[in-house]
Amino acid sequence: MIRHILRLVWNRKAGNILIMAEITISFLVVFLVAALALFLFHNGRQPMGFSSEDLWYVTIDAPRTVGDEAAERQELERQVLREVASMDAVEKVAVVAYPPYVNSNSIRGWDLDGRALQSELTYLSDGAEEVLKLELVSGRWFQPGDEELAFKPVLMNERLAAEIFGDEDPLSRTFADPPKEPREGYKESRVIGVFTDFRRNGEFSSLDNMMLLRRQPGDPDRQMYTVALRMRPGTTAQYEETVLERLDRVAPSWSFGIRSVEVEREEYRRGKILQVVLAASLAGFLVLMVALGLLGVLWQSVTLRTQEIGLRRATGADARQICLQILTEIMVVAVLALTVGAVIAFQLPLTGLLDFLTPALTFQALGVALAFMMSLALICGFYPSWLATRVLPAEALHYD
Amino acid sequence: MFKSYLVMAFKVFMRRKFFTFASLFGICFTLVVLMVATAALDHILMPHTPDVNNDRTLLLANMSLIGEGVRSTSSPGYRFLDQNIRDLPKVERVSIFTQARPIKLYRDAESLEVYVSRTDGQFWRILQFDFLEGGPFNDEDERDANRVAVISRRTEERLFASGNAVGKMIDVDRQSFEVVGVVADVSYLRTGFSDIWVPISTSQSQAYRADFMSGFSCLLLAETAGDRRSIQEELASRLPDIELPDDERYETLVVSANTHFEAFTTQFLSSEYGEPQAGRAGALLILGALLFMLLPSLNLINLNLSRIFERSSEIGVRRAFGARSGSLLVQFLTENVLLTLFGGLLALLLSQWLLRWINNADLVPFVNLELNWRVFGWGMVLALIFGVLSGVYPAWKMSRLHPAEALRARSKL
Amino acid sequence: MIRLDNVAKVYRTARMETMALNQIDLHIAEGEFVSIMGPSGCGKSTLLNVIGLLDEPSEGSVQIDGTGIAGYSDRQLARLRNEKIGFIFQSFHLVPDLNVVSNVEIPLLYRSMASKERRRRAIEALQSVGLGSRIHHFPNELSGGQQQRVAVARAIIGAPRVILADEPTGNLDSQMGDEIMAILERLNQEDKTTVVMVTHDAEQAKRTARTIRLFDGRQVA
Repeated sequence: MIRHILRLVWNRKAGNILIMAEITISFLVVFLVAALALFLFHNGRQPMGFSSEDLWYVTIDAPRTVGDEAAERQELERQVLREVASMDAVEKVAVVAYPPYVNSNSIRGWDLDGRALQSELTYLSDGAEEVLKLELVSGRWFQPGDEELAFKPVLMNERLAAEIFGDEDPLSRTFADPPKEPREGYKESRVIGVFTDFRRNGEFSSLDNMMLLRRQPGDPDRQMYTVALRMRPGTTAQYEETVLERLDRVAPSWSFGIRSVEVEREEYRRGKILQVVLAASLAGFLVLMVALGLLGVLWQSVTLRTQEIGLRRATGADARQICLQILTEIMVVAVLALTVGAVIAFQLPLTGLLDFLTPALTFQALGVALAFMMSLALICGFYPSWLATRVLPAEALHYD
Repeated sequence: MFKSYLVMAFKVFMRRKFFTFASLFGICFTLVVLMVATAALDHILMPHTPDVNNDRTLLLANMSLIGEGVRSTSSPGYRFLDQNIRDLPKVERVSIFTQARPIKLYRDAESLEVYVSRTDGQFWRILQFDFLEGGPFNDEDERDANRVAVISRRTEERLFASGNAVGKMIDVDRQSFEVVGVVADVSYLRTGFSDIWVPISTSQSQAYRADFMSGFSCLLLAETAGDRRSIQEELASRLPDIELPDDERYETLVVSANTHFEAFTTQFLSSEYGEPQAGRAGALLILGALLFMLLPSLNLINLNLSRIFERSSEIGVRRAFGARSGSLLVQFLTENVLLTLFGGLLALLLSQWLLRWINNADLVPFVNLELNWRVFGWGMVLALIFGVLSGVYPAWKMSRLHPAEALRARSKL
Repeated sequence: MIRLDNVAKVYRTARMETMALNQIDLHIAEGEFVSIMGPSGCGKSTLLNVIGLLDEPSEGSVQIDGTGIAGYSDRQLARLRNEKIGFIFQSFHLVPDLNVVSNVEIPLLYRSMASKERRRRAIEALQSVGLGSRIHHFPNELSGGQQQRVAVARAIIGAPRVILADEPTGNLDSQMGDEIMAILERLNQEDKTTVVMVTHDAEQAKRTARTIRLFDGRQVA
């Protein structure tokens, strides 16, 4: 029977090829949306590595300075930090170059034994781990006096450490070749600690490499634009004004802004969820459109084949067999189309356009999309197949 | 003849209601998405209040200093703009201003986030705001550092329950400003967006005047749209002669004055030095629209194709009585285009409703998308393209049906 | 009027060739009423299609009104069909989505003509077949005989010199069949229209001036 149906499908290939193309493309759309949703779902279950509760940050709008003015700025930076630290509601203060949800970042790329590696990085002042509530896995955090070390201290998240060192102990190891012409005062970087994670864009962001570098107090190359504050639990938004007022008094020529990380997190989550809802509803409508189209096409094709179906009935096929035959034909077309779609889906990660598609994710999304499309084909095929069973042999033969 | 095509089309649509519904559903959905996208693009790109002159303006918003292995990118500084831009030839007006920056205003127990922009007097001459009360501040206010402010309608509503804000005082960065004008809300996506505008010179420190880099944007109004090219070239030719701060570290200065479209495209298509990518952006937009139409077109093609055989008798008769295959092609194409145009009208109504919902739900803060005649025109053009795209193949296939076989009407798929 | 010389028609599929027509020489003079008879599958309809320029012969030449059609483009063939030939089919082939008068107008659609004039002629043609009162009905609201009369009106509206009828009475009862035959005879006698009719019915064939018999694609008489 299946061979008979395959032959039928093959003989009608001209008509089927466009339908297959339609199913293939719909499958790819469903695949991409499923991949995106799964990606966010998996990321959402991984820890952020820091605590957004009662975490605020202050932004400083002040010009970058060079030369003599730089010293003036450093003095103001110190005063601002001291002022913030002295506030009742502030438990602890630190400089964090790129605080959570700030829309700018710094990426460092380097070559490791011919392997291209990339990691986001951020500069922290000593004690920032307590402000952000980062979790140490091994080694230690930055501490005062680290500028005296003969090397540049670096902390890595577990992912980056595993990527560079595998199972080996990363502590005290270096990880980048020295430059060919080292500048004056060049120090090689060494790992002093490993922390769980610091996913700046929260639980829905991708799982990326991250390393932390130490910001020395008053470093002229790393002027202070953002300060993170760990507030006492229960501090309300009203207190923001107090912070700003007192900072204004310390540095009237600078402009300050203040934001709550928890609020930012909520906004970011809303944005991400909106993204998924938008993509899903777009895909949903596309799929509904395709379903209506398929139903129409299959319906029409059954109407056209009244005679053939009547003949089969006349030669002894029962209603169940007819229904099964039509349904099988549809499923054969769908399976062929989905096979093509799956092959294409496997090529997608290779294009490099969708960097979030890991092999595991590809498999999962493939499964979801395949199951979805198969049920869709089944549903669309059911009505026309049932319609086919209603054909009476006499009616069909009279048709001629 | 054309009229008979229309009548025929209508009859066919009415007879097979499911097919018409399935087709219309796909058409409507496709066109609604494209129309909402068009409305968004229109909102971003075409002249709207306040930058109604955006076909004559150039925006300087980015500056890069490049040296051996270092590169520093930020907005231009006041000193650079003040010294190098004002005397460019063929420039009618120059405005220097800061991009809107969020600040918090504290009233009673709640904090309000509002955007503040610092501008000069020319700002109000280049951009045409819709003043609901009072008027703008001018060059003298900027020169004398008068504490005056223009606020948006939204801000007025949030700060002054009674309305009539002109003459009242507001606090910004712990300074008091007198409200002199209230303007209609400005979209977040337009040049000149803010909630509160105050003179630059009222800043607490005048240090900004010495900055080469960071903090400001600059809007140029050219005498004519065509002059913009020569202004861009003149600016580019001046850059190498400009003395750079920290010239031990930096060697090259890159600043580009972009048209509105160029400025928009550089945000999305990063090029190494922020060069305009207008051509590429246009091509990508068209490619994106076509790619999106691929699946709906396939769907409609399949629906149309599946009905060829149902109409084979009609095709045979028309051929027998002297229809050329060309006339049949035109007939079936007309039917499809007609259906897509009708779908386009429906889609327009649906888009109107959807946009209202998007605006009300505040999905994109500070943005109010709407349909206008331009969007309507584009929508109909898109419907036409979609109709032809999805109609040509089935119509061609139908018109090529062999008349003798069509009349035999015993069709094999 | 119609001249076929040594016409053959072969249908080819991947596996076999079917000879539908073989060495047909046929000359039909202007104003003749000719019937074509033969068992089913003998090529009658194929012959009619070749005469009607709906199908091209595999071999041989076809002349209509003194002009050979070899090498004619689709456009030229369409024009010839439109101006010189009217068709009547066994299964009527009325367009179900169009009402009677619109169905009759179809041939004139492919000529340049004002729509009013088209409508006037269609009504005239319908009156001449006795259906002047039913012009706004749809085909499915008419009896078989009425439908075929609409088809006749459609065939004559363009004032063709030749009418080709493929078993015009095959789907009708004998009384309705007689009516259609009467109309065809009237057309032949009054308007001097050439009529070529495929039929199964020996009685009908007797009423025509000449009968051509086909067997297995060959002309046997």
